[in-house]
Amino acid sequence: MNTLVLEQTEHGEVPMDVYQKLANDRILFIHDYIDDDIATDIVATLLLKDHEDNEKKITLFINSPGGDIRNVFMIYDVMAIVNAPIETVCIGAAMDEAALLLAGGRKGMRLATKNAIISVSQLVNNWHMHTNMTDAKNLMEQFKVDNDRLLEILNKATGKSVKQLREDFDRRTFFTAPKAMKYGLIDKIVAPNK
Amino acid sequence: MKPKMDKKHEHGHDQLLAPLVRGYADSYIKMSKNRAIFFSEDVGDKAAADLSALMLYYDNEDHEAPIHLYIHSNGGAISGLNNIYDVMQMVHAPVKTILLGKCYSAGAVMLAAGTKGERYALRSSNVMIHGIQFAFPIAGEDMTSNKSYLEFIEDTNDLIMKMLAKHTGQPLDKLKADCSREYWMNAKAAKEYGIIDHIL
Repeated sequence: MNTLVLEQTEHGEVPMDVYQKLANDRILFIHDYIDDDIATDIVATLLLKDHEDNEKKITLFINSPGGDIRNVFMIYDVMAIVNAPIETVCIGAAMDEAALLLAGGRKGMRLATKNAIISVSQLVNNWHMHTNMTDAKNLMEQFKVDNDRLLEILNKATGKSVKQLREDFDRRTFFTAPKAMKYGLIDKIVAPNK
Repeated sequence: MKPKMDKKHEHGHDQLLAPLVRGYADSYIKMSKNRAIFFSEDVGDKAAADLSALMLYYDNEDHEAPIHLYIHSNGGAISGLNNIYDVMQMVHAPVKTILLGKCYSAGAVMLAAGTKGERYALRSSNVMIHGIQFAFPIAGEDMTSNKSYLEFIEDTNDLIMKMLAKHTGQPLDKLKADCSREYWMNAKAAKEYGIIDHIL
């Protein structure tokens, strides 16, 4: 789809990507599986916007089926580093790893639209490798570390104990926006204007 | 190379069979009279079923005469190996294993599982043993599934290691250490390791 819009500049009308235009206004979108490219773009833009003004809020719209845990931890860490307050808004769905980013917004600024869904699960990998027993055991150790970190993030976001979270998310769990608010994953539901 | 056809194939009802038994298949079928099986494929479920059927058939014909199992294999799946191994241990007839060129992975376990003292290898053949190879983690599955999968694989791996330990006489710990990576042997080394008994 054409995402170019015309922008008025001193040089006249210039075509500009709508996401670029929104990014200029400190609004970022994650609207796909969080692969390396998307993650790097988000991190770079966050750092740039923080450098431009570290007090004005940055809004992150999320509609994503999740992504590789390395990428998600990277974005999460950068979100924690920047000084500018980050508002996260779930539109559509924030599944699995994407829910971590949603919960990683500043406390009080984590929103979801009324019909959005959020799912939380333990660590899930969407890749596999051909391996042997020894290497697989080492890999499993790393997964345990990642999974503990994932629960730690959820613990910080929701205030629920790690033990409780481990029980609640033994299987993938879905939340509607009101349920997510009750659980502490988000703070507010975006009210419709009419 | 086109082998000469048997005289009797040229006339009578045997002629109907002639196209089927021409070429290499001819020699395989003749070998089968000597209770010889040529296993030169990957250890898959179909190959395992065929091999079990042949071994059970020969065993049923004669409980005492040896079955000759010639192996030349890259190895294969655990399910196939377990099937073949169990049948090899089940039949009453002694199973002579003969390593032709290569016996890797599951093929090496088959070789070692032959009747003790009746395991042979050609002089320039090679053997490789290793632990189970598998895909991990299961894509799209969560930690709980992956954990239980890994435990299952570890149990299966232990079973294979115990099989090898039993037939080679190597201590279990040494085998596990050797099999944590690919362990390659020529015929001479395989004899020292206890996978075969004689070099032809």
